[in-house]
Amino acid sequence: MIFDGPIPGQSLTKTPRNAPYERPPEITDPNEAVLWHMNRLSDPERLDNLLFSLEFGLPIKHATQAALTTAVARGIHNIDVSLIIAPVIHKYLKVTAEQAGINYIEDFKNAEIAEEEKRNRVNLLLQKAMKETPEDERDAGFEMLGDFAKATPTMDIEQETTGDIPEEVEDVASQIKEKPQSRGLMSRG
Amino acid sequence: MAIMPLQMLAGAAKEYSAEMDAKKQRAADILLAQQKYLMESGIAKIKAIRDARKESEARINKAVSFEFDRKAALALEMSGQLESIITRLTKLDEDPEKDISKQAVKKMSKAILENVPPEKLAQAMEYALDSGAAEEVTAEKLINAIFSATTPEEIGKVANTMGDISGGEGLPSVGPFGLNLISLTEFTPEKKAQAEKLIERQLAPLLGFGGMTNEGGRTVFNWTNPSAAGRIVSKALEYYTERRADPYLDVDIGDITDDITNKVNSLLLGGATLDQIATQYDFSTNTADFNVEPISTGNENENNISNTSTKLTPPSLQKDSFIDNFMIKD
Repeated sequence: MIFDGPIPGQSLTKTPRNAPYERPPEITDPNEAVLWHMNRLSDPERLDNLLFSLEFGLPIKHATQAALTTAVARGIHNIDVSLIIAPVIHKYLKVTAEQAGINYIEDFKNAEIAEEEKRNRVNLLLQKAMKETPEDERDAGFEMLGDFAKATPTMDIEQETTGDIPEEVEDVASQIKEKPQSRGLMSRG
Repeated sequence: MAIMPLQMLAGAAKEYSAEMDAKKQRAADILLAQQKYLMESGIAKIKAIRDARKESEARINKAVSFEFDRKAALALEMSGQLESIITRLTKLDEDPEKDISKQAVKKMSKAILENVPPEKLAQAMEYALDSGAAEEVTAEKLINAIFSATTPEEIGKVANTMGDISGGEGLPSVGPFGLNLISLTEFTPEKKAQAEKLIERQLAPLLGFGGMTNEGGRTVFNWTNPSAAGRIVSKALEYYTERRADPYLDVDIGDITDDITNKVNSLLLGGATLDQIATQYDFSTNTADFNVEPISTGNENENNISNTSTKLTPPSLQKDSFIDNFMIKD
């Protein structure tokens, strides 16, 4: 097992700036990063799969971590931006799940579960959600779940995604809290 | 001099404000489009998920009605095998000529539970308990959730009215169990008699077959060494019965009789006599592990291996046999 890790200096054998996260990120503005995630996650092809995985029991905390880790790995934004926007993405996922009326959990019930076990559970839930996706619906959302599953070994599973919304992203985040337009069935009459 | 930087600052602030307004507007547009989507097609998608869960629950209940342990049924559902088992059991149940062995179902349940890691079962139980809450959620409630609530707090309250909003932690997957569905049917005396005949027919060339006679409409096999042959057939049938009832039998039921024939053939090739096979061999052991012990003839001084039994040459050792052709001769 101890031989599984990289040997000292191994990273120097790779072409510099080969990985997307080694290059300057595409987005440096946290507000833009929030919009990028919202835009991506609200895409109907992805939203289905996202809701599907949340309904299957994937906690919002870990869905947020997976989305942020995937974006960092793809060089969209850096980890500092991830830390700033995490509470906004968490809130966005929570409000989306509530609007969709699905059953969801914010975190695993048993907080005492070991880190590795949590990681396994997250991976298992994502795999299960992928497996249950009908063949003809394996679109961009299915790929997104695959990316999330790939991100599980590297994501910081203990990173908190809740808390106060940082000032930098307060304005955009306020839109998520805003009242839905009162044009629904119940508002009539 | 002091006015210029102020003008620049005001200009920058105005630009920032406009930019922020644009971002807020984009966020609002995204949320509005998402809400529209949820209203139009999202409900159908969510319904499909709920339906899948309900079907899963119905399969588990059906299995329980066939005397399956709930946990075992859940484990089978996790492995994706419950549907085929339910289909099979339903067919058996509808067939007046076939009976489902409740004892075998219980045996299978026990065997399944022994093979599922406890932590996976615990996860599955949690999932099963939580999935019940989802059944209460209706499309109507969903519409209300989207449009009647005006603040996130209210949305939260609506969600609470739908039941426990804490979802399950997912149904873990376990590998397929490789279950023997035949074991779930009763091994009736008629079926047992059929199996016995099949074994006799297949073993006939090896056991010293002396023709067949008809006794009261029943075909009876005659053997040159009736006691040994009868005992071997009886032991073979016992082995067949045991294997047939094995919930994890990983071969076709027809392969059990082939296995019996191969074992007898292999023992005879190894030099064992019918008496030795009849008295000393247990079909559940490998032929390679079978050590032939001499059978006492009553004449201990000669210390000979029994010659009271009929020593037969297996077909595979007769003239021009495969082995003969490949023996290295000096």
